[in-house]
Amino acid sequence: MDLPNIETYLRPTNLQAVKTWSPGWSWLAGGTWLFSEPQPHLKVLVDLEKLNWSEIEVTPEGLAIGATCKMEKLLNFSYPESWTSVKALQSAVHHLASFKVTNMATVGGNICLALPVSNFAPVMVALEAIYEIINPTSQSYRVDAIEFQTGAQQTILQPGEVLRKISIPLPNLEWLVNFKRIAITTAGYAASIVVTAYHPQSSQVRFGLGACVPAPRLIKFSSIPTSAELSEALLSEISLSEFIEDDKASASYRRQVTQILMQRSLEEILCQTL
Amino acid sequence: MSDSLNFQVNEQTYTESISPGTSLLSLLRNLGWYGVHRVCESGDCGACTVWVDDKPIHSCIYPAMRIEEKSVTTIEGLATDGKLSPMQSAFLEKQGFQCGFCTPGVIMSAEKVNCKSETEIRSALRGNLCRCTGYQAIIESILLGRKAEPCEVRDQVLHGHEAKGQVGESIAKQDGIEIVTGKPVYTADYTPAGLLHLKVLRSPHPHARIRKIRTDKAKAIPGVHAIFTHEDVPRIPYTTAGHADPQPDPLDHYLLDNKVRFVGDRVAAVVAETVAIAEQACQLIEVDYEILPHIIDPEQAMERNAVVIHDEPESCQIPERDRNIAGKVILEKGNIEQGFAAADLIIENTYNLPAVQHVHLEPHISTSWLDEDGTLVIRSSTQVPFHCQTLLSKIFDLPKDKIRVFKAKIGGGFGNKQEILTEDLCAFVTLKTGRPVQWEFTRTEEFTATNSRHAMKIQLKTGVKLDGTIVAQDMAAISNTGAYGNHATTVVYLTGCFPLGLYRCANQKFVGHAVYTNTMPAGAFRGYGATQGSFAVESQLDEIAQRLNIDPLELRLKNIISADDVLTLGSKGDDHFHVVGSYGIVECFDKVSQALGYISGMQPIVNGHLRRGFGFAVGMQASGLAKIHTACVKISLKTDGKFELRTGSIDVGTGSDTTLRQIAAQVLGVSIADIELIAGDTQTTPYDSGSYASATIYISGQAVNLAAQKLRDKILELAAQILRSPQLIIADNKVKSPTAEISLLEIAQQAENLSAESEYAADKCSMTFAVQGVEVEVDTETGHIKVLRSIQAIDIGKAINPRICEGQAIGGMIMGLGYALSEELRIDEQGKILNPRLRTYQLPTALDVPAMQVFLVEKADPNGPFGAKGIGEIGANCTAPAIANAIAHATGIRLTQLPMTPERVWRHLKRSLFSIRE
Repeated sequence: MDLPNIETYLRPTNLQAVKTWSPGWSWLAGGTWLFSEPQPHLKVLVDLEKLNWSEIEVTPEGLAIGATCKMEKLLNFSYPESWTSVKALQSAVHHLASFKVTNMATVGGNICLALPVSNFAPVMVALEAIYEIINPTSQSYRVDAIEFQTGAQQTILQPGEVLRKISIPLPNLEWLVNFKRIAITTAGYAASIVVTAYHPQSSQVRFGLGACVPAPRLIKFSSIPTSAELSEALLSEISLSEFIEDDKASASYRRQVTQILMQRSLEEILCQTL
Repeated sequence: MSDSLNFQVNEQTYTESISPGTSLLSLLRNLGWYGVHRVCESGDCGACTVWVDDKPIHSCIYPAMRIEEKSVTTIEGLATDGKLSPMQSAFLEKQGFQCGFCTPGVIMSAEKVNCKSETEIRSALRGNLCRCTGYQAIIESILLGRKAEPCEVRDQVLHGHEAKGQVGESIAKQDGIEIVTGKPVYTADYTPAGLLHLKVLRSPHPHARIRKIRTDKAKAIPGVHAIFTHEDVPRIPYTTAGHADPQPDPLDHYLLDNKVRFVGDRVAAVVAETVAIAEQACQLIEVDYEILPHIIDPEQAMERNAVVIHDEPESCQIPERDRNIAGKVILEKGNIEQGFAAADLIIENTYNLPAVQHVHLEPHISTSWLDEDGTLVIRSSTQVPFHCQTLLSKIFDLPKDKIRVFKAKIGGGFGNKQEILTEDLCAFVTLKTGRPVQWEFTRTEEFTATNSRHAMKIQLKTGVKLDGTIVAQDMAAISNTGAYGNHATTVVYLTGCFPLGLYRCANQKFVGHAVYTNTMPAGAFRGYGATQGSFAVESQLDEIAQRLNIDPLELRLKNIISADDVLTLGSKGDDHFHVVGSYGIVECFDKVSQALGYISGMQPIVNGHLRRGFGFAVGMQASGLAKIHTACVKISLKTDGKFELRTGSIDVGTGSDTTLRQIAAQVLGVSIADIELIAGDTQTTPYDSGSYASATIYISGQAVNLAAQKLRDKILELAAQILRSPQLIIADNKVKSPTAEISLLEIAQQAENLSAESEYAADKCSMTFAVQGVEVEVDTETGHIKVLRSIQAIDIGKAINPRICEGQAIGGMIMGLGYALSEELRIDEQGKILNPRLRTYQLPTALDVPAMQVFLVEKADPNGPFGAKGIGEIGANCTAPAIANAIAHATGIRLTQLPMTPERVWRHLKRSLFSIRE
């Protein structure tokens, strides 16, 4: 929709050109969310497109995804064959929205928006991704994915800070993965998202949970959990009050379906290994 | 600040200054590319899909500032060298549209869908919403379009006309070419010079008196022309409901009022050079409110000492304003006490039905201006131009002939455009400023400031004998009509009248109350109260069948009205305006149960945590409104030998314009191409009550039939003189005697002004019946419901155009599917709507829709044209109860509240004996 309050649209070609940062400013990555809601508090949009941060690279350390990498690029990139976990990224794209949205929407934009229903946040958490952030003095620092989102539409980013890059360490790319999402209708908001990663050699299991909680959570097992262990871990690690309770679904329902999705997701992965 | 950017659209080069917050959608529409449609403006519906450098995107969420040095293709750029693209041709061939508002976006998406299987295509279409078709015809079009060849536009037109298009033929909708090529045919696609834009400041409070409004800051913004408040408008009470006189609704609404009655109510109107300026001005208006206590629960609103929502003395026709009662209906036959005394089993339940929204893709919009001779002209997306004209004439004290209301092509209405919501203020501002004015609702306004289906609480008590004979039915409905009483009485009347009237029970009683609350008004919506009542009655009968161990279909057939029955519930004395008419219910039951493979006594199928079951429901809806719904038609033979059909009727997007032409073509012995149609214009067409109550074919169609017959008789009379033969037939554009013939062209040239008129109001309205069966799968661990198959048989009388009838039935089923499983306007304690966006409202997408099948059972009706009955509404009524009954069959649990969300299903399962993993 039109954003009539926007007074200035900046298209910097390097970050140093953005010298000041004031209230009412916002980064624009793909724009697919910013233009989907009224933004009466915003006056300046800083479009990141011309910074050319849209790379997707295989590096000795693993996979590097530039913050403004368009989601659809994740679908068509040719990854090393052994990188089985990439499927989780691709599922996140498929389940996010129409292909016309993912043609424009960016991976970094989705992560920084930090909606509880973000498809990418639980994937990044399950794959223990690392985020590179640039601060207003052009210095960069790294943070674990699990530390990044602190609540619904809340992150550790300070005003003027920006996500530059997402790195997924090499060992984590060779896990088996499964992406599950439950919503009333296909295009509706999810009540829960479960991303399961399983390492066949070590039998480690990690669950990245999203949509059911305000910020993504990680539940880890050093070996394949039984159904009872899985339920117990969910109950003990996330209290009922931490689940989202709103007009779309109750906390207890979200916990119920999260547990069911965890079980089904793990079962599906283990079937794959048979 | 604006920057000048260079870009291309459909190979034309532009250099434009763009204001920085503009979306590509607005940029393209401002440049005149009207095939790009504005619907949701949030990237959810896909109606604005275009390609940027060949990549499909939603232009509503694409920053226009990014378009520099890029190239855009819109639907208008798809057909090249006069050839439709294969996909466009396929959409014409398979009729992958109804109203057509979603179509350009669907085609621009379909062109780029890289998948082969139907499931993959359905998945790819998650970003394209269609409210009319139920997606089936769209998927068929895409499957064909992937293989088809480019096609000459001219060929396509001829191809569509291969068949003559007379009664009974599935001729293509005649406006298909303009739909698939994105022609500027909808209301918003015309902008007169000097156009101003109107925006309304809406109330943040559910109930408040306006002490003072300060507009000076807002008026100071450059580009703001005027701001109007309650102090500036005539204080005439009216209803937004488009009804023929005598108005059955309370007159309780004002152009602008000194009181607001729901979050979203009108406060002040701003008129400015652009929508953006008007919006900014709204933000700067300062309002001093005296907050009043508010009430959102209808039962509390009915209490004696409740807050009175309409305490203003000018409002009238309110049955009991002290108890907030906007409408009261009592229907009764026999003696229910005696009936219950004779019952072997009595079951009583309370059913809760939510408010849901129409979500017609084209929003409410009107454009008004003054003609050269001072006539006030309103171009509006309305189902009721004539009622609108009458209303404006009352409000502004203008003679009707100084007001012209007409409609362009309409992008869906479903009842919400049987309301006058934009025309009144547009007209007012044009009269005040002398300038053309446009007011287009945003999607958020559609969800928060138009109308919903009435939320209802229905108590139903039924008594039966052990053999399944129903002996007593007692129903009480409390209908939440919201802040205004439009359609309050008439909707709740149908809640009892049709669902109970369908059964041959001697003792029935219905008490309906429509109650004001401080919530968004409810209004007309496909099904019109019968939808709510059907859920209660059809759910409870299924429960009774289960208790008595009688097959649910058998129980219904045992009690359902027969061909000879007289419908007495809801009629006064001998004045039977509802009649059974043609009767094909039994065949409908047979078709549906056979197609589903249902056998009496079938057990549910259990597969781990999944359970499958079957469910059924039957419904009844009148064809039109007897005695008060009037249609007038004029048909003329033109000098070129073709006919001109003028009708005031309205095609909301269903295809009724095509169907009416088929009727005329049949009677006059020509092909549909020989019938030119002018419709829906108070200045150029004769009166028609409008498109509602499933009336268009039954009443306007009959008017066409009668006028065409009169004209045919005149033509034959003239031809008899010329050919000197009394034995004449009219066919193939000729009048033929056994020995000679004369063409219509020759007749036209010999006779001047050969024309005929008709005025028709049905004395009796025949009932259309529908039977629906579904198979569902319940995930007992998550409560998720998957509808696997949905089959409906409609006792249609005669299908004038079977494909259009099927389209109506399928579209109705999907609307019912959303009502059953996902759609609901949720409100907070202030009555504020919590999910006013497509993303949170949750319409079914192509992937959520099951395989569907429709049977049209044709037994000619004695009252309708060529035996046809109405079909516009009935399709929506049976889906929800059929699904609820199937869930009960699968799991034993009975849900009495819609929508049956996964969480609600799961909670019921948890409470039931049926064990589930927790």
